[in-house]
Amino acid sequence: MKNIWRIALSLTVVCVAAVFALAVVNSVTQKEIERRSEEELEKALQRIAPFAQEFKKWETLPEAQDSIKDLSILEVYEALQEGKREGLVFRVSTSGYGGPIILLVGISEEGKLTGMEVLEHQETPGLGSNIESADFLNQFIGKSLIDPFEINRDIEAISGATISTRAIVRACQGLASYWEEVREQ
Amino acid sequence: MKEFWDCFKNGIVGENPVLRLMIGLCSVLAVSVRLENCLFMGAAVIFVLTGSNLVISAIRNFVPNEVRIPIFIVVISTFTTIVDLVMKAYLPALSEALGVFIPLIVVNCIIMARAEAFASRKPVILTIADSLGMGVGYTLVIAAIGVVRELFGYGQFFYHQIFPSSYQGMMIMILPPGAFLLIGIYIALLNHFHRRDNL
Repeated sequence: MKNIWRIALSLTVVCVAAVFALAVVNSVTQKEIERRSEEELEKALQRIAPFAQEFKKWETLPEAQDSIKDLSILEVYEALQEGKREGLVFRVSTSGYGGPIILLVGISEEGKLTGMEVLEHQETPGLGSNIESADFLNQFIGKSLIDPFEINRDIEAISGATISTRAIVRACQGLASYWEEVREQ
Repeated sequence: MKEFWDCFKNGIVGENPVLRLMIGLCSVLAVSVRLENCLFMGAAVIFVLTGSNLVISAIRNFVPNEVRIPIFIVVISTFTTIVDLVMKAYLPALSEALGVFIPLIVVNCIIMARAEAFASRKPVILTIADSLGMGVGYTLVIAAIGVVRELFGYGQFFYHQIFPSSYQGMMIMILPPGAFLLIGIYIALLNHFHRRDNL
């Protein structure tokens, strides 16, 4: 029974030392990590909507009227040019072959896609992972939301990755109907 | 000094963690697609392995036998979290490429096994030799796998195109089976050239 105190004490000492070490490292790195992730987002937004100088995040997301299949809207940013809204940038999640695909999509006031970027995905390397490639994503840029977005009609699929391609295309179709609902806000 | 050297060498050839003990294979399969990832993964493992085993060896006489495993884990996870935070802050691109495999160093068998089998029984100096040897042994193997996978998978070496750009990457090298095949080949080679008498 005497032993129990020794056990408790040694565990406590090790844990306190660990907490102290981690607190020091955390206080040094935390600011840098936050700064980097903000910078990263700012840069990505800038690429998606190159015409805008400023981005304003929507605090509340309007609920989609009819639920959009397989698409969740995570964040919406207003792209402002000299204080005037010139477009919207959506951060959305759709389900791909290997897990969720997180996309950043810019839509101008006229309903044209100004940019699209894949932020996160777990698609098969070498096949589905080609959704990140510029060759694939560039086909979307400049398209209008009233376009059909049909694979092998106006969108060329990635060979060997039909499901991944379909996920992106479906996201665009879903986003088209959501954009129609929220554009006036 | 000879003992120090022997302990170091043991991790590279005699008991190479990947090719002989065959532990910690998960990260080897997962991150060895690019040579750069391999080298930084190796550096992270060397740091965590050496740091945590040094501490474990230094406190080995104060640690009650009953709670040695929880204490090892606290020490190892502290070092791993330090690496994770530092990489996120200063090497964000790499941190993204290595992803979850940096936090997973905590449960990497190499570190737990060496803490239990070596650091908790031996003096600090020998522990350093053993940890460095094991870490370098791990890094050499993962780098040897990474070179081949990057070359045949992408036709590149450190992101520089080596094969003509018309080269179509070998899919199997990009996927984990490629690493499995290479590990098998390396084990065969090591056994062929460095047969241990007691095998």
